[in-house]
Amino acid sequence: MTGHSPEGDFLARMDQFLSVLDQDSDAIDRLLYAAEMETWMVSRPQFSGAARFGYDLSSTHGQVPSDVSMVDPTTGVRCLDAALLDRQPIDVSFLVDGKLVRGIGAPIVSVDRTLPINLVWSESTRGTEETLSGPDWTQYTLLAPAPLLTFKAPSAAVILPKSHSDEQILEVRGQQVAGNLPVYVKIVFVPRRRKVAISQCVDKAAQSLSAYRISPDDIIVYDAAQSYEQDQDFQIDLTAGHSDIVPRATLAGKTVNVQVTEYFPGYQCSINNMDWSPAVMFDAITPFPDVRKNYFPIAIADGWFPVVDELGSPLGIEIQPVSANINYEALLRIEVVASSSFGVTGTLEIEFDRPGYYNGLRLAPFVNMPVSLTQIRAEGMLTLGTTPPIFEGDVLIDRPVSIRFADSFGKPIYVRRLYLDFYQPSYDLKEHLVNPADQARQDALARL
Amino acid sequence: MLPFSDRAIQGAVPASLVGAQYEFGLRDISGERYNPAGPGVFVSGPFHVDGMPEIIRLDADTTGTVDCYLICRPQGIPVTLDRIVKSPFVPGTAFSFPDVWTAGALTSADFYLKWVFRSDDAVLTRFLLQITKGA
Repeated sequence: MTGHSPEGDFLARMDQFLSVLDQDSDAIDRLLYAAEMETWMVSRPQFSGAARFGYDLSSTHGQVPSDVSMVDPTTGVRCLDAALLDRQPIDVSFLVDGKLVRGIGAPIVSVDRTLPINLVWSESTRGTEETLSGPDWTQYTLLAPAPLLTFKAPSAAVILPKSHSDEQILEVRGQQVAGNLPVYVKIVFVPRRRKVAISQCVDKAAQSLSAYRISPDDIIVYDAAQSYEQDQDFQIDLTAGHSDIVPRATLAGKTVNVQVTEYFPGYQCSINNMDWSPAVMFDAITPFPDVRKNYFPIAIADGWFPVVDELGSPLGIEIQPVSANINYEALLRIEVVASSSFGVTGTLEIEFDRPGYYNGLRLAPFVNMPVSLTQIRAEGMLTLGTTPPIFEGDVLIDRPVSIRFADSFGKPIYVRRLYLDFYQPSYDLKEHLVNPADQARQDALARL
Repeated sequence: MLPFSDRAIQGAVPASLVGAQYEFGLRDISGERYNPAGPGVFVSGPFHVDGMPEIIRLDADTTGTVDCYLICRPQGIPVTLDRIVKSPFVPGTAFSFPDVWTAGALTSADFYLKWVFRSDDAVLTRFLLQITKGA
């Protein structure tokens, strides 16, 4: 007797516990519906001083009389079933067009249920997968190396100065290699010495020494024969953003070298906006003002500079200055926004034991993280090879549910197979220990 | 030379798989065919009001084709048979009871809502009946 075996006893007890849980869950649902009813009632137009009577039929049927005629007033006919009893509406709860419809519904004679003969999952595999299935159940598990997230292209927003917040100072590309923290980038101007050769100086003809600001204090002008004096042989014009040298008559016709300190644009990076990486100049040939003090390995490709952490480790994002706008100190925040597309989608193909006219699909979830149903497609005799959708939307399957569908006339649809598209955005972090396939052989050899 | 390797062989070493686990699990999967029985009738009530009713309003949340009829069982007049006072009573509307009631002033009344489910997909989720009392 199975019922008296330990296994049978365990299963019987488990059934009883599950039954209690089912009833508790049902009672909670009814409470929620009753609370929802209160909200619905106050949202209706109110008559002051009126007596109010109302029920949410999914919570309770309320008072039902036994002495009121059951005749349909329009047809004058009493609606009787085969046993000559009044046809009573039934409790219903099903999905129509992705909306949960519940309450009491039109009476039915019977519900024919057909089990599937084949349950097949198809999905874009991005990890280790496992599929288990039985006569009327199936489970698909995907273990991805990391949470399946996708990100949009990074963006660099100017935080300071606020008056330039709508300008683009940097172009950004790439993706972060780890995590998704915002990175702060500070645009700085680093002093560096530079030699500029000026040939054939012309009296009072200004020549630019740098595209950036220069220091007027430590300029040295010289040639092979001598050095020259500021205000006597040349002048420096820093007015109106100029960084020019203006030769005087004594320099006319000569070719000279000018040693000048220019403030070249560079950048520093930080994740906490407090500790900053060494400054790197936007000069692919000479990125460091002083390699003895600030050098760290840096890979610059085609004018793209790496965004790094405080220690100089690249984060996977690269920047390139927009030269027309890089003329002031600024603070930027580079963010990589996650895309709305994340998680796993899977399609369950359900092949029924016998094709036929169906107007519903019954299913119940049994994993911790409920999935969303986004589409149902049907393949029948008239639609062989094609699978027109009979439902499109987004409905959470977090409880046993009957999904109703119909053709454009409200009639059942001839179905051979159904294709259900599910979406699972949630995951558990797991560690599995998997024994090798030839475990017994290896263990046997090891014991020799 | 030994006819077999004398090198120590290590036993099977399980591999560790770590990551984000996504699960899909469904049970009780079955195709369904609901065989409708035709129209059905459901009556709710009584909703008792003392005195002469004045304004009556009905709100309801329904799906499909559901007709509603308001039945009054009067008290305080000689004939107290049930009478349909609003046929059909369309949800979201209100009417003046004295305008449709010609059988005399009532001391009280019991109202009933008769719901007829006409289409196969007809569902009544909830309703609210409001009745004000005349002076």
